[in-house]
Amino acid sequence: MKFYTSNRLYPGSRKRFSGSFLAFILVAVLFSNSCEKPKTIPSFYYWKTTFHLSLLERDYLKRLNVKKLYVRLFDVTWDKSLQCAAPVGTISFCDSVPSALAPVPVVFITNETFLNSPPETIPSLANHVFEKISGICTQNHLQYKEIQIDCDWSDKTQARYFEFLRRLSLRLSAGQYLSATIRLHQVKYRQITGVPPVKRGMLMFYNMGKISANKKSNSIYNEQDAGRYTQWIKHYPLPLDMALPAFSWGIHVRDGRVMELLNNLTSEDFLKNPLFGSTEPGYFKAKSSFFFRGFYFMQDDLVKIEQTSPRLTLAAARQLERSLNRAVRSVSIYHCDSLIFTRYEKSDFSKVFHCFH
Amino acid sequence: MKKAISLKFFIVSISLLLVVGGIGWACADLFDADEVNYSLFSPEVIHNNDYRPFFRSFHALYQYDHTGECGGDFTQVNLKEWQEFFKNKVDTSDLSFLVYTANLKTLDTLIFYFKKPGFPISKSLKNNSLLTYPDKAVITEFLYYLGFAKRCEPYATYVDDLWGQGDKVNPRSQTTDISRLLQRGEKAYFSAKNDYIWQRYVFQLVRMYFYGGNFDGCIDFYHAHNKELLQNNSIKYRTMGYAAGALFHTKRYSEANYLYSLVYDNSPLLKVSAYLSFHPVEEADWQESLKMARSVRERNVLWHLLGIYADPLRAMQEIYKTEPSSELLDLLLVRAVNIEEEKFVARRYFEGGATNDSAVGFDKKNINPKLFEFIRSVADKGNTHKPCVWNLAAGYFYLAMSDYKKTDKYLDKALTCSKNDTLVAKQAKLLQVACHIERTTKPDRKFEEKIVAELNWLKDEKQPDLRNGNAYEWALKRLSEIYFHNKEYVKSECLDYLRDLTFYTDSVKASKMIALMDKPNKTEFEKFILTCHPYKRSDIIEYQAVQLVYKNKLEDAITRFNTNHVTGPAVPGDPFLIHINDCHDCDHANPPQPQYSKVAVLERMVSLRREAEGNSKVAAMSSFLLANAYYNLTYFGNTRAMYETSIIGFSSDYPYFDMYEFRPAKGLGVIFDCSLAEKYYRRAMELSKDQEFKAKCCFMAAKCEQNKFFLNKPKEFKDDFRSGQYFNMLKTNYSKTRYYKEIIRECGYFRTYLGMR
Repeated sequence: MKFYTSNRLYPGSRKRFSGSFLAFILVAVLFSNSCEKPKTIPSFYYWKTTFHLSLLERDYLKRLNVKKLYVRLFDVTWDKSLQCAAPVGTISFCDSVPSALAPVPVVFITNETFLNSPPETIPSLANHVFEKISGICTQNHLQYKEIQIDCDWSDKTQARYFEFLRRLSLRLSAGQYLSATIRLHQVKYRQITGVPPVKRGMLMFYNMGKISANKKSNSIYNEQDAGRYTQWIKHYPLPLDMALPAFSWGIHVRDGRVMELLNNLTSEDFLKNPLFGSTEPGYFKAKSSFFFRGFYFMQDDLVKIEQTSPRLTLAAARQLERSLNRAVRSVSIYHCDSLIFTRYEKSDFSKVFHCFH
Repeated sequence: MKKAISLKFFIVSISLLLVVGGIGWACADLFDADEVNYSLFSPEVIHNNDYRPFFRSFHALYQYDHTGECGGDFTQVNLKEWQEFFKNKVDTSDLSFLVYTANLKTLDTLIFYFKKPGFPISKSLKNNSLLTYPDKAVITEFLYYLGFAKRCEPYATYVDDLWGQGDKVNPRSQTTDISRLLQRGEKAYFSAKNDYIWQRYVFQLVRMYFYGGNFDGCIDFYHAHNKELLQNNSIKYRTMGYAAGALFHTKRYSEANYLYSLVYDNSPLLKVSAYLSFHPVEEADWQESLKMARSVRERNVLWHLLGIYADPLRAMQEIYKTEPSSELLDLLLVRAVNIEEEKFVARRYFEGGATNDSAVGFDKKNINPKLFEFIRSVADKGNTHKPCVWNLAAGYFYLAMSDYKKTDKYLDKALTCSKNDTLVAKQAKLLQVACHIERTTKPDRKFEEKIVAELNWLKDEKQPDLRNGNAYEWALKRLSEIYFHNKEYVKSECLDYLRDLTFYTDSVKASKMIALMDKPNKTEFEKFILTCHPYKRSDIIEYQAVQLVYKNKLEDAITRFNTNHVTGPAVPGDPFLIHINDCHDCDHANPPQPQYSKVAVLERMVSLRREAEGNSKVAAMSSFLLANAYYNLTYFGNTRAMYETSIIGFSSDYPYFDMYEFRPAKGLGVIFDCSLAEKYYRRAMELSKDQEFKAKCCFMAAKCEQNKFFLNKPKEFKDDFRSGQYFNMLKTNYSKTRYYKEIIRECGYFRTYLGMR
């Protein structure tokens, strides 16, 4: 357990950043340069189907002294035609993971998979998932100590999902452990949804609001929605790592109703397309009906771009930090992507990581 | 050559574009819709089963059996085509044996038999009617082709081990073997003399190129030979499908989508696959696809696919311009209606949460005016394939727009032209019932006499595919709204008992409901609405009695129970028992014998209250027992059964937190109130001189105090509990008692209070 040898509190004074911004940076820099062990393990998520790190991404990961990379290996969904759980979107590696980064294989499993999987198939599902992770990791020379499962389980699937986690844990070697993502509602209603039988949880501190056409709301992060959950975080019985947002998506709206999420499309993409008009920053209106990047837009459809900014990510980090017990933990940014990095300076991420020192 | 496996490539092309889920998606509820249908309009009115999978659905396909073969089962079609090839002179079973069962060795034996007369063959082969076919050259060509097809079969039918952990070797990765087979196939293709066999070789080779991953080769071979696919049979479109898949893989979307549209229109078995694969990416490639169309029909099929895929109105307008009588419009029209009604038929009629002030049922502001106008104008012209359906649609839209005269006009037209089409006629009738309800602002006796027959029709009609069940549900809720709007609350409650959760908390309304139930000569409508209501007279009286209990009018409650001639069901556990830690399950596992009925609990409480009035030791004990009962009757105690009635609901029906969060509903608020219990614990403590007993009373009062605090806990308060006057009193006055030590042993909060952990 390279990073989790101790849960003791970090022996430095707790800094509250009430002074000027400059003072905060100064404190943070001094703090990181000290000889004392850092409390935060800077991490990123890698959430694409092809593993290829651009020069920019490599540079960011290196200079930010990122220690862990959570890499999504594949998803597991319920295959309706075969009536069984099936892996989809398996990653292919065009690059190797830099040696300075400890890779954490992540598998996303849909809740529907557990809704449909009969209980007697859960042990074999756990074996399949483990073998597939092992196969990919062996083939790509990934040595891992942690496996993470990402599933938005519910009270209905709790028993099957937790059994799956228990079975998966049994396959791990000494020194390896299992973690699971935790959504905010699962923290608040843990009496109902239960606490997964894993060593650590990864709290996803984003996507807390309703995805809506409403101009005022930001479903990725807004302080008010987050505030409805923060009081429960401290009492969650698992040691928690933290995932913070740095991404964007478009919300496709027709007649006031959300049609779909437009992943990997930015404001720039819409600005460049003359078939869209922009009424205000971040909002686009289709001038006619047409296809664009695989999506169909009807005349007068709206696109609302939601994106995090360095300021928003930092605000989320600060709000979250106030709700935590002090402990050694990974603080992970979702997600590692050149497009995102063009909007964030390295120092923006440094500030986020240092929030938790 | 086994039956064709599903054309996975169709699906593959889509799955490549799927966005991976998970971390990026935390708001799953948005996309997690079950197939819940709120529709009043049956798409089946177009009577075309080929289009059925494409009716509007929350899933990708409508009522589609996903366990079947998405790419179609060609077994029967294939055999039929071979039979035609042999001019129906070879038995189907003999052909089936050769095509699907015989192995390569058997085929070789037969080839030798035809090449060398006298070559020994088995009796069963000798009896195969193929041998009687007069043209031996054709037989030999057929057998050679079958041999080649069977060699290709493992590549085409290979199903990847889902988890990639078996010992299976993927034959499609054996590039050398595939190249050799392709060479062999091309040679055989060039030497084949029969057009039909020629075409089959083209199919096999295009498919082999595809599964070998040589998409460019696949496309080139298809383009070089597609002119030979002259016969309009299943093979032509299966070949085209693979070529389209290869084109999509190489991002030649315009041609891929064009070919998919041809497959969709010409191959019933591949319709679903072709639709699922159709996926324009940019406007330019879509426009390019349109330019490829060689006829009005081809162009309109492309528009039709776009209509299903994304934009029915635009597609209908385009198709209507050139071919108003095209059957391609039928599906798009019913899809458009079903999509639009999702906006104008409010979900509140199906999901509860009806509002009290809604005077209009349909959300007309949500209707797309362009679609409405288009449907109306086309219905008026009457030059379509299914004019009845256009009239139905126009009538429905006018209904939603509250123009009832026009509704009548179009529905009458639909009825007139429906003739023997019972589904269309009943769809029109269903909409007429909805119109009857909708145009009624003040329901009177005459209305009720008529509507009761219509409601019974909606309830009992058995016409397949008619959405009368939905219409019935809508009608009850809508009528409830109308009666509520007219302040006829009893009728409104009967028609929708979930509308007003506070109905029975109003004693006047409750009495009026009982009066209706007791009315001797009820009208048909009154009889009908009472059958819709889930509560009986006895449920209402029990609820009223329970309300009196929680107003601490115990004697009145007993009288009310007795009006009903019931004592209430037995309550689990002993309401007069209390512990340091509440444990309902423990108490319910050891009920007193005999168990208390609800009335028996109340009678003992009345008696205890009398005994508690003095200053004696008995009064102290009675106060204590009475306090236990008051405590146990609350949400925190072991006798929740007292307030659990059919009107309030049962705790097993919903998680406890729901009850907590929604406690104002149905007058539940009082069940959280422990103040009477606290009052009598305090009294018992004050009356008694026994230190042990006093300590016990004091601790129980502390529990009441804690519960009160929990319910009113300030938001900013983050700790588990807050000590109050009674913890302090325990520590100050009773620390020497045995009971005090017991509390320390069992109560963590108290230990925390004492700083013991």
